[in-house]
Amino acid sequence: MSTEIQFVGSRPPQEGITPPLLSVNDISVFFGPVQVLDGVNLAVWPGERVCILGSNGSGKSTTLKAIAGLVKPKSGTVSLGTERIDTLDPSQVVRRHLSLVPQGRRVFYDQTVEANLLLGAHTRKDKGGIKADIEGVCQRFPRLGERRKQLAGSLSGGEQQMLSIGRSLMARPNFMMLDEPSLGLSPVAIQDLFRGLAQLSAEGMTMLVVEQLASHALNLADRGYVLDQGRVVAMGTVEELRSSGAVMEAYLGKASG
Amino acid sequence: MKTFLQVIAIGLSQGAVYALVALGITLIFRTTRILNFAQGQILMVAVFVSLTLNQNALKSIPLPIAWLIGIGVAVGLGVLIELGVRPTLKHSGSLGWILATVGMATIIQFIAPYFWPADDRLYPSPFPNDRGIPGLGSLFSQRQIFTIVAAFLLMLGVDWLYNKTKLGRAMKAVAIDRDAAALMGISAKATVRWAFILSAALTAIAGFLVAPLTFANIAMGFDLGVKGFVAAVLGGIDSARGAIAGGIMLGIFEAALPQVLDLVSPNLAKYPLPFVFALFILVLVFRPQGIFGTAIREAR
Ligand SMILES: Nc1ncnc2c1ncn2[C@@H]1O[C@H](COP(=O)(O)OP(=O)(O)O)[C@@H](O)[C@H]1O
Ligand SMILES: [Mg+2]
Repeated sequence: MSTEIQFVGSRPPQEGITPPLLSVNDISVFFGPVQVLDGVNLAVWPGERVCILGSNGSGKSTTLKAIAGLVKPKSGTVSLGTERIDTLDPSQVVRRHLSLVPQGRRVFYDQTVEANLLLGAHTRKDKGGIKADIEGVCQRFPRLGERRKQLAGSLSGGEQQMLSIGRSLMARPNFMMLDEPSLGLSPVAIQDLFRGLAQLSAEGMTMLVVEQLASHALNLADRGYVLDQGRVVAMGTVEELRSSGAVMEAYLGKASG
Repeated sequence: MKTFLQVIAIGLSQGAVYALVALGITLIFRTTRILNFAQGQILMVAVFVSLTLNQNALKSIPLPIAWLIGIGVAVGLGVLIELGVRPTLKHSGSLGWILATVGMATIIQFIAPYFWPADDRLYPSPFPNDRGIPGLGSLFSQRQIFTIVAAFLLMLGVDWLYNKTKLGRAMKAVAIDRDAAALMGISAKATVRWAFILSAALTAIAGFLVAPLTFANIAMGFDLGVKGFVAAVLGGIDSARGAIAGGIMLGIFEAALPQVLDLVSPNLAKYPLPFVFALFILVLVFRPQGIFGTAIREAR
């Protein structure tokens, strides 16, 4: 894309008042010689629901992976509270109660639903708490409860997405990142999914969500960033993003998704 | 001509050992999707280190302690191989691990004659004066029973590890999807390291159990490595129970084969190995996932 829209809506309302929970400062990521992220900045405050929008290949997944520690930025920093986390391994990041629900769900398909949930609790030692949390996930997603002993690979796409989210919840995150959770799901499953996410958010979960379905993402979120070719080209409240015809058209296709 | 029960006894005790070697191979495969071709050589080194410590002109070290040291050396070799294959694990599809493990096997096999003689050696058993089991006549020797029972307990242990422990689940998860496992807080490095350590220890013990039944010979690693591999593939290389069943089947098949061939031609009975491989190839053709295994799907 050659046209560069510089649409900057209002800055985050908390900026300068309270410190953000997550701040991504000017990160650049390379895969070999190819630059995929070019100075990305974003911040998320506790309890917020923030979305990242952008066309395919714009660097959304890479941004989340850089935060989770799966890819290392060549420059720039990622901080959680006051601690720098860009130097940590992913297995250390999740111990700080920041989880990523990866694109494509990535459940361990050759293990049972229950084993997947136990794997999500790998960082924990409190057996009683783990057991209670498995019950909790099964109540939140009754379909998983019914299929506890089934192999994850035998679940439908929507159920696998629930499992992927439930598995992340087992690490007791207070901050969840979700990468295209609706990808490949049926319309009914997508409805379920976003209802579940709204519920989580109502319980106080901070969220950073990447979505192709702009309309769903904008319904869920408070604020958003738009990525294009590895750069943040727009930011603002969801109302601002929605009403910016140029942004919607250039990066999000039909706003109705 | 041996009786049917004698064949079963020999088949079970040999098969139990093949099963242990096979389990060592699957432990590593389950976590890394690579085959350690130096598995048999680790076994041989463990056997000869413990043998040399226990039986030498200078100072005899008691067998249990010699075993422990043998296990320690085996684990050291296992970790060395793990370090060798580590760079290739990051790139799925890389075949560098073949070079690393075959190279290690070759080096060990090349160095061994400088330390140990090439002829057959008697290996000590915890039952030096073996008079068989009272009541069973000459059917089972105490050594055979010891081998079968010890191997069986170890198999139960590995099955428990696979299905009931955190490490077992993590090993499986790392094999399927390293990144997703990392997101769960699982360190692939540590998990792979554990797989090599446990595998080497198991293989060393398999050596201690088989050597008193046969002989110790510096070529034994090749024979047992190949048969362990055959047993693992027969049963389904991703599953503990499959590897166990594969080992027992191979042991019994191998014990029964000369008896059957003898009926056809006494000359044929001298060369059972081609028939073992024929069985192996038949299984691979008709059930490539192993008799008990499930087909491995590629991770997305
Ligand atoms: N592991 C990788 N190696 C090389 N290039 C990659 C890798 N992962 C992603 N890319 C490239 O980086 C760009 C951004 O990818 P990604 O972050 O997945 O985009 P999005 O999630 O927005 O669709 C794409 O051009 C993609 O081809
Ligand atoms: Mg993506």
